[in-house]
Amino acid sequence: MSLKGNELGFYFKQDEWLFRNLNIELSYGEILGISGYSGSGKTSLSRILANYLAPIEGTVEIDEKCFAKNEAQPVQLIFQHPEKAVNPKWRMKDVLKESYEPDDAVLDRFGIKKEWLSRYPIELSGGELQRFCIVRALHPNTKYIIADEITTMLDAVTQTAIWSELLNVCQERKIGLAVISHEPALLSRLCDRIISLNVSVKKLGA
Amino acid sequence: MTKKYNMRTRMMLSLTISVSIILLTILISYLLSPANLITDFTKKSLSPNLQHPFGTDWLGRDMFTRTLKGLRLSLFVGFLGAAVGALIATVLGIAAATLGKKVDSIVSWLVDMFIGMPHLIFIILISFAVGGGIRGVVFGVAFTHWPSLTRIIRGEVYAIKSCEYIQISRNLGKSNWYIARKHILPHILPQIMVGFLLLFPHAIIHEASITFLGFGLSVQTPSIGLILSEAVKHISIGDWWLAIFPGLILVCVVKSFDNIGEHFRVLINPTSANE
Repeated sequence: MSLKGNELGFYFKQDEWLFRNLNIELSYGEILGISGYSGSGKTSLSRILANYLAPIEGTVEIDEKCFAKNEAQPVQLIFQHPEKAVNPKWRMKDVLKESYEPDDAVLDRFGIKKEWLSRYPIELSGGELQRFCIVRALHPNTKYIIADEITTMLDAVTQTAIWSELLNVCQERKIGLAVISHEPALLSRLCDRIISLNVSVKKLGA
Repeated sequence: MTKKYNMRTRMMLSLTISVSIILLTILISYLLSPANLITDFTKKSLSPNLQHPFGTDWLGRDMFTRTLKGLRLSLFVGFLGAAVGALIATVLGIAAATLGKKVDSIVSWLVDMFIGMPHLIFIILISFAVGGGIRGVVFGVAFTHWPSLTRIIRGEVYAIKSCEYIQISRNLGKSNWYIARKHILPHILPQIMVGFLLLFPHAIIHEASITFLGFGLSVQTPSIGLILSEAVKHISIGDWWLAIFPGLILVCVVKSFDNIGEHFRVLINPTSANE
């Protein structure tokens, strides 16, 4: 059982392929690192795998099935900029409730304080908002999480705290986690396996 | 004066004046007794004096009472027309932006068509078709005044539709209806409010003009358009007060609404609110 991308290809401009013939597989409970320079297609790939973008070539399969309709996707993407990923007019508890109602244990784990729940997004910092986005992505349906540079704007201490909790949760629930980053040090610390998009881009040129 | 108060303060002041003009008009129209409207040939065609500030007409009715009561009806008709118009604009605007390319091109085509046609002729046609009267005027005004607001709302919805939090909502399995209601509507509510307020003066003016032309309200209802159209017949014999005062009050009220709408627009827009 795995999240599979078969022969994926994508471009923004006609025939200027960002990547092509890309095969990717993420199994249950696995932590996969995806690295690449800026503009190498990391974000586009993550969006394709999470049903935000349709690939120009190839298919995405989740446990041998297509994306679900009208229910929470088993693949959830956590975005790079949490302040853009929450509705600025909603209180944080409504943001969470849109996905599911998390219990106190989950909130505690990610260091979310009770008083933050009744605040608006603008009254929280980026790191605090990102914790909410992570908790929101942990919907009961979620089987795979794609984390697109989710800790780039955080300091080292907060990064460690968030990652260790996220890894723990993923291990407990056997969630497959794809970590996307351009920081090799972070990836080598976290991941079981690392693939590089730069290589596949070079292959294309040949 | 210009130096002393900043723009916001001056705006709030002019906003207060505009609101009070309108409220005063409505209040006075209720306080005036309908007895002033009884025909009395002993007071026929009096020019303005202390007892009758706007004079009396050829049937001896007090013009001040007639004007304000007529204005109240015009405001009511304007309110209904603007409300229905804003509702149509909201529904079509959201539909155009969210229901795919086909719906979008149909709505855009309708908008272009309605904007391209002269309002007045269209209002006359519509109000004639639904049988005249208040209903005719309300429908006429509503059906001709939705396009510009529809365009604004459509653009606004397109802009927030691509926001990440809306895509996330969709991937959390939320329906289009849920997204429209919970995410999109709260964001475009200010635009709808402003659009509604700016529709108001249009609606009143158009009500007055088609009643003036004889396609609107029936003769026994006191409305500004009717007063003006009757006055035309008597201007030639020198009864100038029959047209001047009602016309002036109409302009004041319409300008007040326009003022409120404009100021509201500037004040709720974050980029211009602090100027």
